[in-house]
Amino acid sequence: MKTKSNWSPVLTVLLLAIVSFAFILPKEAETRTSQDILENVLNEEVFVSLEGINDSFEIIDLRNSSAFETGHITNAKNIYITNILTEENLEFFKEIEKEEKQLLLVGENSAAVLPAYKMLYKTGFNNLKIGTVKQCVQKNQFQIENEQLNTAPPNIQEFIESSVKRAEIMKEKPKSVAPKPKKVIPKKKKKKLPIEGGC
Amino acid sequence: MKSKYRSSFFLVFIVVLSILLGGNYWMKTNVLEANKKELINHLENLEHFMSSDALADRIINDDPSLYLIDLRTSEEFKKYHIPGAISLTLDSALVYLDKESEDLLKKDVVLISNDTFNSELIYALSDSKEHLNVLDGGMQSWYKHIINPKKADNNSDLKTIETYATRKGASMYFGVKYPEPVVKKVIVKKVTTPKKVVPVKKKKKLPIEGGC
Repeated sequence: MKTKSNWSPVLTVLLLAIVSFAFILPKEAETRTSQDILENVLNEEVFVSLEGINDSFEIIDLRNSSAFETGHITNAKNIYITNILTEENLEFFKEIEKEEKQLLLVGENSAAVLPAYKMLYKTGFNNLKIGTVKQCVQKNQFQIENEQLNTAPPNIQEFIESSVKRAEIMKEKPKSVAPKPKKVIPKKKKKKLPIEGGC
Repeated sequence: MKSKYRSSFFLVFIVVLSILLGGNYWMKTNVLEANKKELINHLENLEHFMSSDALADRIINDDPSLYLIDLRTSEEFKKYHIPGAISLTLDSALVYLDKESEDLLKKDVVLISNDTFNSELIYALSDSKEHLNVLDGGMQSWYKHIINPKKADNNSDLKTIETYATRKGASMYFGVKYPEPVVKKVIVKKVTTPKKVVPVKKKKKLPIEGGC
């Protein structure tokens, strides 16, 4: 005789399974929306300048190997941006997180780091920082400098208005060339000579 | 009865556990693969950067497919903005772009900020990227290349001179005025050889000599 009580342990197991499933969900599956990432990036604590770098950071240079070889920040590790999501590198990043170190991402500039930042944040890392540095090679020489983000250009409207004014002034007052005064050479009057001779 | 109950319990437990582990693995790999694909797509699509020259050219040619979104602050937008642009904050731009309205998907959306960073941020965070572009260098580049282009000097090569001429024309379209060059009137003087005046000496009236 089948009774309802036969299925109660099965249902209990299923319920337990669902609850435990929620807990063992991988970090990668956590739903981190674009708005979350935006809020996180807009937080100024995310940005690190050259002066702010210290031992608490593990510097990851996301440029290609040839650019990295021309020059890089001391102690930086080169992981090309397309390879950041390989299992080997994800394991390395997890170890860094366990050591309670920050992952400082640097590239050609701050904007170049953003795709990697987004993907690692989506994958579940919370210890991410963006290096506000500009790295480039000019005339075979490696150059690195701080990058000022969101700097406004000079006042464009003012520039346009002043250009209009300048043009109008130039139109109104054409350069007048003063005529050269004529040289007056006085003619010497001939002296009347006394009449010589005569009859 | 008890053994039957135990075996069925064990069977269900095994099935649920395998579903759990399998599901977990599947989700892990699926999410990771999707992320990898998205990253590669983003990095390969360098065409999403639009130069200020290209943007100026399309505005001058009255391209109806252009849709400009200015991501700077409203104060900065009020002071000056590229003609035709609309102002949105970063948050609202993200919501607006992810709505994926059909009208917007048909357009070439250009994201504008002071430099490249904020535009690239919104580009990176948007779900659909096919119709999105980033103004390379932002308003800084717009000022440097279109509004106040660097003058080509006499030693510049032909390409630089041509680029300057194009940019100067564009800047004039966007309101910049240049003082009209002073055209010096070339007065062609007629070179006339002065006639040689040979003075005829007046004969002195001689006193009448003698007489009859």
